[in-house]
Amino acid sequence: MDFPTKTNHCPICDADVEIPADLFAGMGQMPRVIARAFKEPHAMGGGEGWTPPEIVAHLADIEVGLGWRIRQTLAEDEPVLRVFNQERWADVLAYSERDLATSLAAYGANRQLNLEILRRAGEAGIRRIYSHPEFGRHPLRVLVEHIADHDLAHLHQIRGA
Amino acid sequence: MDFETTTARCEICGRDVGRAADVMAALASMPELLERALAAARPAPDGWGPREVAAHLADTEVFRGWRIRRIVAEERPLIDGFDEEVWAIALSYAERNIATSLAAFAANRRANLELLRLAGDAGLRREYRHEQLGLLTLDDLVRHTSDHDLAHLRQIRGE
Repeated sequence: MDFPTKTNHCPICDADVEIPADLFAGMGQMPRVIARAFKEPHAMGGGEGWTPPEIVAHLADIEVGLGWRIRQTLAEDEPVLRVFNQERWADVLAYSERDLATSLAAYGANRQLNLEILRRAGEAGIRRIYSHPEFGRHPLRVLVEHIADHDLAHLHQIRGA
Repeated sequence: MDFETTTARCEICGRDVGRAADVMAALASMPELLERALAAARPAPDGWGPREVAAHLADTEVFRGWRIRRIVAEERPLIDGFDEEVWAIALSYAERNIATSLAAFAANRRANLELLRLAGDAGLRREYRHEQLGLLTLDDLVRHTSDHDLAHLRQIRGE
């Protein structure tokens, strides 16, 4: 792995998952790690499931969703988050036609901005509570850790690990 | 001005605003124009300075990206609003890094324009629900975005 990881219980997945040992540092590196992973010898080249450009379009769109949810949670009292269907997004938001470089740039820039907002919000910020219609009430930290786990799952998928 | 503009009635603001004659071209050129204008801007004696304006532009482009995706993917979604003054305080606009904000604004703008191109004319005609204004189209949101850019560009330049 490109940075130390640890096992963490995710209340959203209700499973033990892998996240960066240093959460924000690992999340900050992830867009570059993902971009490099596509150039590695055993990187996936398509086949079953999403292709690399589709995966990055997905990561870019998820980061926009995360950004909106972070902002809502920091600025509102216990907001109820909107649910979206990622399979429908992949279809109607044309993941198969999206430009890889545009998606990578958006994923990276949004990740840096989201981390800046989280760092400035501090411990009090990531303890703020949101409510999800399916997964219930959680502190913002749970959502951020879930996205860190999600990043790593897709990295492993790209590497065929 | 860097491109031709007209006066138009904004469906969202409900007032006459300056509008680019070619909205899509203006949306694409605005990150560079705003970055140049902010680099030359002086801190405001009152109201938002360059740092706050850059953070505001970055955050509103994230919010537009979220709205575009929902409008294209859902049937007449009810779109959440936000209080920009609350965001400015809760999201630390006065301390935010200008380069990080401008990079995110530009990257999100490119991604949002790609989504709009791929959605085509049928996508622009898709409708969403606004709590106060009722049914609006994605095209209304796109034109409002361009108007918003232009208003901030003029504000920064003191025009």
